[in-house]
Amino acid sequence: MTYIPWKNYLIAFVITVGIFSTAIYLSNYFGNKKIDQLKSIQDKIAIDILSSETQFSLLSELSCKNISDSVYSPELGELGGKLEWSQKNLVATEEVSSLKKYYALLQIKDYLLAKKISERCKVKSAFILYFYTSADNCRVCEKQSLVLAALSQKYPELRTYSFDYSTDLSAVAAMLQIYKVKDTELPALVIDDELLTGFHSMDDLEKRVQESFKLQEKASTGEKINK
Amino acid sequence: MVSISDIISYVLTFFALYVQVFFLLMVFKTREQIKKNTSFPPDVNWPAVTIMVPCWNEEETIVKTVDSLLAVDYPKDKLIIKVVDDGSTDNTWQVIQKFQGVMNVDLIRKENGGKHTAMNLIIATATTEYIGNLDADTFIEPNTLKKTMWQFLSDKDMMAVSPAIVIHEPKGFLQKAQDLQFNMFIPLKKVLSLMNGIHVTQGQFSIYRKKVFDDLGPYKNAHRTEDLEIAYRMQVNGYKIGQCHDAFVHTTSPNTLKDLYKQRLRWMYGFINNSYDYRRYLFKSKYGVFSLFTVPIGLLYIVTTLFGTAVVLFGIGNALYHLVSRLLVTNFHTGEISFFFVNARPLIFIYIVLILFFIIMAIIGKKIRGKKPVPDLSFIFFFLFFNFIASVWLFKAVYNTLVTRKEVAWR
Repeated sequence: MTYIPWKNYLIAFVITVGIFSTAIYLSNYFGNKKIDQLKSIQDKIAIDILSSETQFSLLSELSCKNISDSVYSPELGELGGKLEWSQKNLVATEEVSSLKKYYALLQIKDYLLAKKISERCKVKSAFILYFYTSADNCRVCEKQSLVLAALSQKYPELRTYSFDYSTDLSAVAAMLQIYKVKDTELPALVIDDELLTGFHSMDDLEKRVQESFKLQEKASTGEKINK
Repeated sequence: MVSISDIISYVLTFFALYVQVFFLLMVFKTREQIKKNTSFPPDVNWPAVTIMVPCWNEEETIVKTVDSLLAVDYPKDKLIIKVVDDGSTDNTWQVIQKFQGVMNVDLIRKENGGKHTAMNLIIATATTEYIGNLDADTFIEPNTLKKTMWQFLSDKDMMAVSPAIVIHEPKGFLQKAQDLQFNMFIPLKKVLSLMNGIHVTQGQFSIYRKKVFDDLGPYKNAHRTEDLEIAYRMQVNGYKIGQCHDAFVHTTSPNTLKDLYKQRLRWMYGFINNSYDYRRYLFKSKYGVFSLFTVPIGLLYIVTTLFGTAVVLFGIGNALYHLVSRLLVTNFHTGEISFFFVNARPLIFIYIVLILFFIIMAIIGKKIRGKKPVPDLSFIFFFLFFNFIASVWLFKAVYNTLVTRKEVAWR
């Protein structure tokens, strides 16, 4: 009679399923670790913003010199990239998209605060609002994100805020409405209240950022003369 | 989102892991049989055996091959050596004249007709109960014949036995990688033989009861892999094939990529096409492990290697594309490198386990060979490059089968 080792086939199958399940468990474990890491960065940013807001509220009583250099949260830009990556690669997408909403709110708060500080204390700064989509496979958006990341590295005074068009959040919807961003024209950038659509190269954006710095300088010199 | 490529990857990886787990489990379960060396009483009445040595343009190795047969520990009056020159165009015939007149060595010359015709010529006139073959670039150890023959004497159902193949004096990474692969085959083939699931009785010193050829007919061309086809024929007819894992035969191996490519292309083309010819016997429990496991895992190996290579090449291409685009659009800013972006997907852990299992199997193979059971540099070469190189001949074998239907050359 032909011998078939059915029992061994079955044992091997059970062991294989066990190894597979362990691999899935390990993958989830490391994925969750990453989400924890994201949460802790986000908490730190929230505290930084709250601290900046408190400092800003004290401005009426204190001079701009008392605004510390660490008023801006450096992790804000880094967190955006990590969240994008997590949404594409981690299984816990719901948790990541809720983190993304919170991140969008933090960015808006940071933007408003940083703008106020910049205007009031004449801190050298430029702002770019960046709208992209993660819903479609937007290769141009990926390229644009790379350019903005490199630009932020080169110019520490430049603050870029990135917003996913598909984020289901009224505050983001309000931003889209204010700057008249359409989903057919993504990626879109707002620099000095000017809306730019499509891809913009490093050189192009660098020029605009430098112009933004000059405009700010002119404004502050003009104010000093008027005084 | 899970893509189709991901689903295929998971399914193929699951089966690849399953096969490895199964083999390791079987090696563990049969460890006592694997550890045990072949032993036999001193007064065995050894039967007569005919060893055929077909050769075609083997002037460089044939003498050493026949010398190794003459030096074998076996009663001289029970060993008949038949050297068949299959129409060599080099000096093979002149070189083998040195054995003219040597007791029990017959030299035969015929027109070139292929290896199977050379062997069939001998089988047709053989008078011994056992017939074996030895490729003319292969050498046996003095105790190989007795150990192999003992498998027949200790099991009346045994119809064919192959010894373990090792690479003769491996030099350089390419030969050492082949040596590693052949070492891995030793425990695998032993496990398969214990389940009667062997699918090839290789040309390197396989011995048969003559009854096999009397009952099933002579060798066939079989896409130039007659040793594979005869084993398929035996399996589907319920003839038992064994392996003697502590009897060694040393084969010269290709030392250039071109020669290795030709050899492996012939093997893989033969495997695919013989499996296709025998397709009606596959996936049927009636034909045992051969039908349900051995041939299917061979086919799975081809699909997995080709798919895996495509995925890796696509991955490398994609990574390079992203790196170049990043450098171009950012005026050569490399950006931040962080461990955060290392994707700990389940497949990464499975691949680590798979490589570990392969290493364990190779170490077991080394131990059976009596070598120090530790990994060396050839392990790195094998796992990093050999499997990718294998995709080239696998692809060509599949391409020739599906598209050109072109038979592959011997060398």
